[in-house]
Amino acid sequence: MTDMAQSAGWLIDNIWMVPVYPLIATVLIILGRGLNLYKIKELSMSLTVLSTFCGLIHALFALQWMFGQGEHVVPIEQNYVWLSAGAIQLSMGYLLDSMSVMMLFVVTFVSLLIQIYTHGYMKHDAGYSKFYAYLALFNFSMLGLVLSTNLFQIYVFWELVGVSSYLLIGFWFTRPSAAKAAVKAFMMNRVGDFGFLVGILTLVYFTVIDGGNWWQQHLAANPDQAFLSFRALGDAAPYIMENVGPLIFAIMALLIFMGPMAKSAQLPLHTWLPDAMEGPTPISALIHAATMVAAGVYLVGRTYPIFMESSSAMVIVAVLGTATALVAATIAVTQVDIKKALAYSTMSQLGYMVAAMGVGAFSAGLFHLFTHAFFKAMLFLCSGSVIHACEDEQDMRKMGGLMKKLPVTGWTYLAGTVAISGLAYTSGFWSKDEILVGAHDYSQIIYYVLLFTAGLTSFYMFRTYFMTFLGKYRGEAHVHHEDPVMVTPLAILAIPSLFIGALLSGIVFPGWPAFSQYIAYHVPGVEHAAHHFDAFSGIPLTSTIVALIGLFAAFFMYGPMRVIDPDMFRRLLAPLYNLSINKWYFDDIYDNFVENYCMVSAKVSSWFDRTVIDGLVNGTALMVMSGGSGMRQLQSGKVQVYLGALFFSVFILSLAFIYWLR
Amino acid sequence: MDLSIFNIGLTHFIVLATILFSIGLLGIMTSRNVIRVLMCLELMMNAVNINFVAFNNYLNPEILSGHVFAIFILTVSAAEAAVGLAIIIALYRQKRTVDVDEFNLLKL
Repeated sequence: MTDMAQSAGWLIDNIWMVPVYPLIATVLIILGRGLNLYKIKELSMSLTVLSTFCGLIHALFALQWMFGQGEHVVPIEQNYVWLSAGAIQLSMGYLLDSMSVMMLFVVTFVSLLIQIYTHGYMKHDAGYSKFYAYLALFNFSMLGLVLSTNLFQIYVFWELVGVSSYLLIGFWFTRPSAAKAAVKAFMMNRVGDFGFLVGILTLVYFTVIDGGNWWQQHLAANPDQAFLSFRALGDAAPYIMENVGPLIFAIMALLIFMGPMAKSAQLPLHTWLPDAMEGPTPISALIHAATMVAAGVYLVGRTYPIFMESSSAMVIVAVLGTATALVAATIAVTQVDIKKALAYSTMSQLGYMVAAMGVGAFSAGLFHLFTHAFFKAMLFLCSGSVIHACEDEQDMRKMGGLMKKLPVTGWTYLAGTVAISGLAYTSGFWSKDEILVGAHDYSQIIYYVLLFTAGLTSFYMFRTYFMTFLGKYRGEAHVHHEDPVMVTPLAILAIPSLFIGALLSGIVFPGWPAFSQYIAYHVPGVEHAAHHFDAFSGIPLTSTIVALIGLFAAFFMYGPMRVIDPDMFRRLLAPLYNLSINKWYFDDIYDNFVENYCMVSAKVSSWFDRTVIDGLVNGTALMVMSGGSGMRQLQSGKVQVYLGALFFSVFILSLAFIYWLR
Repeated sequence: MDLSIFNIGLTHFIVLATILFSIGLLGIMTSRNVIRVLMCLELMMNAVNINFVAFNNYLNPEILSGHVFAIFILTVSAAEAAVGLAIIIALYRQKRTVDVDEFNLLKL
């Protein structure tokens, strides 16, 4: 027992190793590329899987550590100074609290299964080892992001996940569409990251330069925290608010929110996410559904004290989240590409999470992040299994009736669909309804929009299910059988997808730890009035009914019987249909904007650069050159002239010397 | 040796050194032959030597540092003359002349 406790303690103390394992795996795979040993493809897979597995063990012990502490988890924070310049002392470290433990568990668990699945999916791809190197690189960045102690460190890892995402979206870079999608994702994220960086710098400005160095006193009182520490934000936010007033403060909060806006695909920086589906499907599952896109929500959670301080920023966050949920759901309704439909569904669910953060339902938002990671990863993996079986066909119109050929995939997809629709006490039910309860307390409009979105969610998800798995097969490709390497992770993921919500809800199993107990935002000094979530009250009932309406609508329109012809609605609601099929014209507006404004200004600045800036540079060079050729005339090469000049100048200098020393 | 009966002081030595130095300088500036340039250089060096010895006697005659310096300079200038002559011979083999104005390799 003591041995056990000792080793558990060791694993907790060395939690920083969790991101280091995948980093080692990446380096080994990349450096060992030329070795003969690596002709065995599985070696890179084993290295990556092993690194993630070690991380998972750490995460499990961290969970045990957290549950062992009861409701008030005392966070472990360790910082190491990286570089310091005056008042600004940047540090790296690790922060272990309930939020990071939860994310550690999700990331390691989901990526472990996805890495195993990848073996089946990418077996015949030429870039097998490279893919695993990138996967491990992503894991390193994501786990580093999760364990970050301060805003600066999270920004570093934030960019690193962006790079990994870029590399993986453009993995099949010989396809022009994939290369374009990768660049688009990168650019869109740059826009958000820029805002994020400016937000951080604003915060630094108001705490360091403007009105005395606030950190000095704070860090003296809290030696375990570092400059820009998340745990210090609770004290920093009121201080800044007091100094700068609500307007500037709200702007600062929204600048920080621009990071999540791009990374979590919120309006209006969302257009990269559907395009990112050009990457291999395991990537869509891991990065663009379960983990990286959720990092935005995680960051909002980490910087929550800032948002709590400014109610106007919270309103904007809530409204943006809700709008994203609705817009994405309406687009998903008309998608025929199975991955695109799932991508818009992800965007919509992220909208839910952000809206939850905005309305103050902190733990509900993170709970939805938690449950969503499982079922959305599983849904994407199912779609990958389908695409793989149908010889790279992604169009749902050319699928149908796949239930017989792909039974495990079909059943797990159904489980995921039920979970995301929030039916029958599955995971999605608990988390989504908690968000709805929070929204109901905050604003009726947001509540009704989210409720409507829940209905749409159920409709489009069951639509994809019916189109893909039921009815008659409509494609030409020969359908292969399922690969056991690919369906085993699906079956494993189905369990948390269905049950983890109920397990951690705190209602079904009263003795079991509840998610909202551990992950909640406590306002210091104020007794936390928890949302009393009653599973049998009006709101969950309403949302279930709405979800059932969506299910039946999908069944009648796309089910095996086809009672209602979808074309009728298409004609009837032509304007809405056009809006949806054209993705609310976001891409067209952006293209137009780039074409008409960005390109013009780019051309002007290019001209300015080539004529004015280059002119200045070349002018300087020309001046030096002409000066040099002028001076060259003095260099006659005759020794006696030099000597004469030497003695003449010595003579003059000594005269001057004598004159001054006289 | 007592030179006081001739009433020769520091000034005389300095004047002598200056004359020697100026002759050397003029020689260097005007001659075209490298050998002569080298000889004039030696002349200037000896002017310096005279200065050293004279000032040593004038300032603190007990210590012979100026004399030692003069001897060092003589030695070094002997070595230097050897090297200089060797260079001149090498140059002569290249250019078939000892005219200073022809040695303008430093000029581009």
